[in-house]
Amino acid sequence: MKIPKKIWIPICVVGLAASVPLLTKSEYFVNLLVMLFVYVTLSQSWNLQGGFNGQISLGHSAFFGMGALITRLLWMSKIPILLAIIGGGLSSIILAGIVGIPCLRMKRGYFPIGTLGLAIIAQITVGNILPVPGSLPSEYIVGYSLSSRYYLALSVAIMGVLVVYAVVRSRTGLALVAIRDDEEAAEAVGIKTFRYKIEALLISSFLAGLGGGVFAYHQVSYYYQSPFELSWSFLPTLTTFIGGLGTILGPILGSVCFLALNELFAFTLGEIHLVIFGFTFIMIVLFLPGGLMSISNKFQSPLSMKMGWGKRMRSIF
Amino acid sequence: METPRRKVQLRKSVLVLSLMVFLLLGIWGESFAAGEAPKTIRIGCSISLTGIFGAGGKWVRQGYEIGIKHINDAGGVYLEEFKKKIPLEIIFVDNESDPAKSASRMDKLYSVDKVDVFLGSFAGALIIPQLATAEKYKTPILVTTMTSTAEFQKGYKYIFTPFQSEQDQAIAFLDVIESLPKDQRPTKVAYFGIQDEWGTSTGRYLKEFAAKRNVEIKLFEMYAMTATDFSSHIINAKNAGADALFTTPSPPQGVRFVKQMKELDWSPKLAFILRAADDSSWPKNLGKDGDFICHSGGWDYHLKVPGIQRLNENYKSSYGSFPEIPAGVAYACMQILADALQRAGTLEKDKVRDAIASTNVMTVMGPMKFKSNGRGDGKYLQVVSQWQNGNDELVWPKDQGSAPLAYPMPPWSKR
Repeated sequence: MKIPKKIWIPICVVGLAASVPLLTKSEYFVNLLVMLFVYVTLSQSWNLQGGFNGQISLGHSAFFGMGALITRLLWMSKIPILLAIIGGGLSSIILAGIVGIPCLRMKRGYFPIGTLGLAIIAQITVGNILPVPGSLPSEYIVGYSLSSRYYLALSVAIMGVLVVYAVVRSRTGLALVAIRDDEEAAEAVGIKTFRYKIEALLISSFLAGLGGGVFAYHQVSYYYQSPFELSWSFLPTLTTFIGGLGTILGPILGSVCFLALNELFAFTLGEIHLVIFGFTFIMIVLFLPGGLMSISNKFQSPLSMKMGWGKRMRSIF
Repeated sequence: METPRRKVQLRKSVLVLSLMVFLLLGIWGESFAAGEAPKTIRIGCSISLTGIFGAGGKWVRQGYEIGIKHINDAGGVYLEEFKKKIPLEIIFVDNESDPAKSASRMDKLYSVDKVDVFLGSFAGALIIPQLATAEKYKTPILVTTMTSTAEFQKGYKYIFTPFQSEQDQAIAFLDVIESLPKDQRPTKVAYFGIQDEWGTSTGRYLKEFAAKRNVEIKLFEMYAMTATDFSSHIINAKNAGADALFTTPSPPQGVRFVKQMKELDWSPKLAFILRAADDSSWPKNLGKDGDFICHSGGWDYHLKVPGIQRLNENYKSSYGSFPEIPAGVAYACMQILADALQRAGTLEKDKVRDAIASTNVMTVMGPMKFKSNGRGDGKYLQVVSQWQNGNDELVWPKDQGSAPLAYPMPPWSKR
């Protein structure tokens, strides 16, 4: 069977990513990539809801944190990590079902505020109930394997991308985009808008929970409330806007850009690195309102045309 | 006459020969370099230079830097393996006061900068992830302001701190009470703890030790990490007739707490406000109202121990004030590290770790050893300071004190 040209690049990228632990001895680089995959998973999760469905959520830290919390607790209770991570994802779905669905009743600007409230409540509650750090005991640290965490993080990130891609290409995806573009018009043509919004929320929260699970498996020590911090809500929002809202490649590009610049500036610019980091992203948003993906619209790339990524494909990717 | 083809062949041969010589030189050079002394001993420190713990991170950095300067002024640390003194070099990376980055930036220090040993950040929230990370890399770490005992009960082998523990803080408070004449001692203690790991476990130890010494903990209440209103706690204490306070607020909370005590006219005989009152900005924020408040920060620049005068003078000339508590502890960490490296005589991490574990050295914190779990076993960990006329005075232990304890705290109306 002949593989279409447009599939070659993702296959090569995944192949290259899979061989990284074999090619480098730098634990720093491998650790960085694990965090990149966590960012990609979380950003894709946010993108499904915010980018394709137009529901700007500021509550993703609650789903991410819940996934991390349940995964860590299950794993520390000697439950296999894969089951623990799935448990983490499911717990995020339950949280989304209980608290997120009422939020979906809110319209326009009230939805982000409602989800932000959820994130704050979750952080304070966990901080009060579990104020202790969840450091790994020494027997877990002795057996710590970075490569197993790397491949798990990579697999979850690929799964996140594929799930969002599949949803967006499906009938549900068309409905989500229709709701994003004009909810009242979508309702007028018979789309059950609330049902589709719930579907997007539940899938999105599941992916965020899986991302949290990977975080919990990767980190040797953190306070239980750390993954509930609001920065985990702002991060996927920022990376998706930087990369390109409502595109598949956008959150990946945004995550790479965010992580790479953050590290580069932190190691080279001293104490003012956060100021320059923030300024850089203000410039990106100002001059590239469509994110990094909009560069390809400005400059027609011969390669993208040759690979069969025409305008129609780019609108999804 | 050489043909063009021969010329090309000749060039190729020269190139191959050059490459071989280069490779051989490289291999020889590397094997030669393996026995050479390193130019510096590399110390890695992921520290909070920005974010909410930025100020504390800078104090810790100042302490490390003065410590390194003093050691390097004497030529560095003598390592028996290389038969020479080698200067110390510290590599700082900013962790942005983010616990996740506090650990992840150590990945870079370990695998890119190839550091020989780690030093810790400021604040327990940032230090705790660093401890497990150092353990993961089997690289010794010395940390500063870390009161948590729980992390030192996890069986880690490479983590050390000379700093006071939660138990030390509770013991210091009870020791001060016991030092007072029996008929003047406070009899009802109100404990108000911040709802975090430190506040919870400090309260637990206070309860446990107080029961053994027949001191009554009349009130035991917690407040949220973001709490701004303490009036209900203060009114409860007033109604219960509590005459001693022990609380663990953040610096802004501590200032609010005292202001609300004044508004509600509650003045216990003895008031311990940990952490918040450590800060040199205390009298600036509270003026006279900040007087009589005691705190136990784990170190004080008034201690009468060798080396402290040099630290105080150098710090004052560099930064214009006496060293803050984290700076003093950071300086002591450098003293401990230099001593351990010299005794280890090598940069092998396990040997350096063993040398730190067997420390018995005089520092600016007094004589210092380590317990088997890595916590400091120093003589002066239970220091108590008190704000008097806007000055921070060391009042406990008495033989080290710069002033006697001002007791009891007068009512607000008589100040």
